[in-house]
Amino acid sequence: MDDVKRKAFFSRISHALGRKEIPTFVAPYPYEKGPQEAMYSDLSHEQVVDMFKVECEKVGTKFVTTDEAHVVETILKEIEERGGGKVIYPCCEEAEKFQLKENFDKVDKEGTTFYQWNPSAGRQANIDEAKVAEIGITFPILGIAETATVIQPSFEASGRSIGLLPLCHIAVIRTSDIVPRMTQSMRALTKVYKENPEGFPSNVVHISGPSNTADIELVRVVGVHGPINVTFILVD
Amino acid sequence: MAILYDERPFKKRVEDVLANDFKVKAIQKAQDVFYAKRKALVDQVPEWEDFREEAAELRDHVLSNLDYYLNQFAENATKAGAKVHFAHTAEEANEYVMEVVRAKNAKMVVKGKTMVSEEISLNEALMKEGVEVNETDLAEFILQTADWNPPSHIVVPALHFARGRIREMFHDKLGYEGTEDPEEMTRFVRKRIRDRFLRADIGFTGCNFAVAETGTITIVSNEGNGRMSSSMPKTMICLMGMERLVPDFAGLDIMMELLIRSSVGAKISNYFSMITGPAKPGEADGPEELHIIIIDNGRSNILGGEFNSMLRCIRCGACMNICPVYRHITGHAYGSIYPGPMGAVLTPLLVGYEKAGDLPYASTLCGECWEHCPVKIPLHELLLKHRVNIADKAHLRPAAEEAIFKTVATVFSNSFLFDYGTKLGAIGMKLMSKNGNMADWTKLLPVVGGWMKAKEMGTLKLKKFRDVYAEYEASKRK
Repeated sequence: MDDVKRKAFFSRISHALGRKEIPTFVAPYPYEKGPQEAMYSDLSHEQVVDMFKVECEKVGTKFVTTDEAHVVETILKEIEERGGGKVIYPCCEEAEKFQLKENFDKVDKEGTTFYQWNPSAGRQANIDEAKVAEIGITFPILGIAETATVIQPSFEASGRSIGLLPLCHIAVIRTSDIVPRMTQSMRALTKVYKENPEGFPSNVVHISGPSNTADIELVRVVGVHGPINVTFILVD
Repeated sequence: MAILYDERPFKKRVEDVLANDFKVKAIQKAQDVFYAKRKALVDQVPEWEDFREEAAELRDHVLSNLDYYLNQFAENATKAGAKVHFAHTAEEANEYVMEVVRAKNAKMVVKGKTMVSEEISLNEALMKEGVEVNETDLAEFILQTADWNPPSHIVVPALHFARGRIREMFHDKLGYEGTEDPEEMTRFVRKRIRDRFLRADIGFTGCNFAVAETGTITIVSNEGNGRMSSSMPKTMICLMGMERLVPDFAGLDIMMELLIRSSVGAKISNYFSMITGPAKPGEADGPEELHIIIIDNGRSNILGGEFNSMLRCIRCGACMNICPVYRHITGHAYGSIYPGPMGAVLTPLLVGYEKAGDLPYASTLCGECWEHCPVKIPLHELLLKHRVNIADKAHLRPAAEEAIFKTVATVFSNSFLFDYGTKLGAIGMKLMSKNGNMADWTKLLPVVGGWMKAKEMGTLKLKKFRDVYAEYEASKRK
């Protein structure tokens, strides 16, 4: 039944386009005609990173800078500044690399607790932890300078809930992963897809600050369904 | 809500809107705010016109190969694990939804903002099935609380409610006890909806752009409800208009450059989700099942025809943010979920001239909508095409108007008749005039009364330009 409907659906489209069948080949759209490639091509990487910071300031997204050696220290400081509470974090490669678990286990502060995303504990257990967390920590794979955006994929070791359900989202990103525009980030994602289509993350979200709305009399309110506070930690 | 939610005559709808000063002022404020913000951003992009050109071309490229790209999208989305359905009509789309609802024994659902769901009256279908529906976009939530009040703007649909009125509704219907502060009310909604997000059986979303090469669907949102609806419930249903495609990720770059700047005057939305299939095995959250329902609902009749360029539309609302007519009559005068210039073009295409033939006349044809359209849809030309069709093909004009224009055409195409006709007119108008303008009572005349009410109408002079010119020619010969 579905197949019959599908055929009829497509035949209406092909017919409207003056043909009987779906073409087997279409010449790719020539993007090189557009202006996007040339934009910011004269900027050094340092200038691109500066643009990211300037854009953060413009839209009011908090960022702090640090280096590889001080990532954990910076995260802990930020947790404290955001008022502590329950912190949820992924079990991804970066988390291992920075030994978050070992470091967090050592923290002994009244009111601050940690939960590491644990896919084997199942859906409900993880969501139940994330929904009562005050802070979620994630490691985006790319940043876009033009819009102060970070790009966060979801996968087994880093669920969607971590950067979504808590009140505050702390995103840790390497400055070397910041590109000028979506032109470059989309190219990077295309590469990820083409190398292994089956492995492409089921969810990739671009995050450009805390959730907000202007639905009541155009008054801007920060924090609707997503996090109310966001901090980007930029790692040199 | 159906596409047309108010089928009363256009003039009646306009009268109602004009009686509501707050509504008109709210829309005017939205226009001013969005206009200023958009302009400030666009002025910073010297390449803006090049982007518009590229986006229009890209959309046309997709449309003229729509069968190819849609097929490619469906194949890749299926490979990624999504279940893709094709719905020719609204009824078919709702049937698919109900199949999923029944299979999952769903009792409660959450919805991100989706215009297509309004197009197919999904809420009504769900409620008929006994399912609890929760709109999660703050504005849509307000409209739902107001007993499904219709949207007045495509991007900020609940602007016509003052905060005091919203507080009152929240208090009466939801037991809200707080103040009318927008932040406090938003927090109240956050708490209420958060619980629904976590318990919902199904999450519904729309789709801003679907990517053919990867089978990815994308959702633009600021509030995070699009993220929540696509992340928390175990089953996700995405509704998309069949024209909502880009070939590849590179296409998203072009469309995103234009969409948010054009709609609300921001560089980007807070969230932009790319969803490729359901959650993978081992993932502890995200939808276990993803259904994508691709909806025609009249679009294949538009494709390849004289209104083809309307299918470029990316629903940004830039045309209504600039339209002088929309400014005065707001979305509610259109009676359609698609208001403003884009709605005046699209609505008649989807529901027919008999029901929406008055909408193409809600325009001054000034062309500002086209100038501001990120994908360069010649909206003013399409509106004119509608008018030509309504007059010449559908013969839907009132008989009196038809007779008047026929007479005018005869008189204007014959110099003798024109000469004497206008002389007679001058004498007639002189008799009806007062102090050089048409007298007040002429406002009561049929057809011309419409003009007289809105502006001062001078009178034709007995001595016309052609008389003066004839005198001049005669004086030269002397």
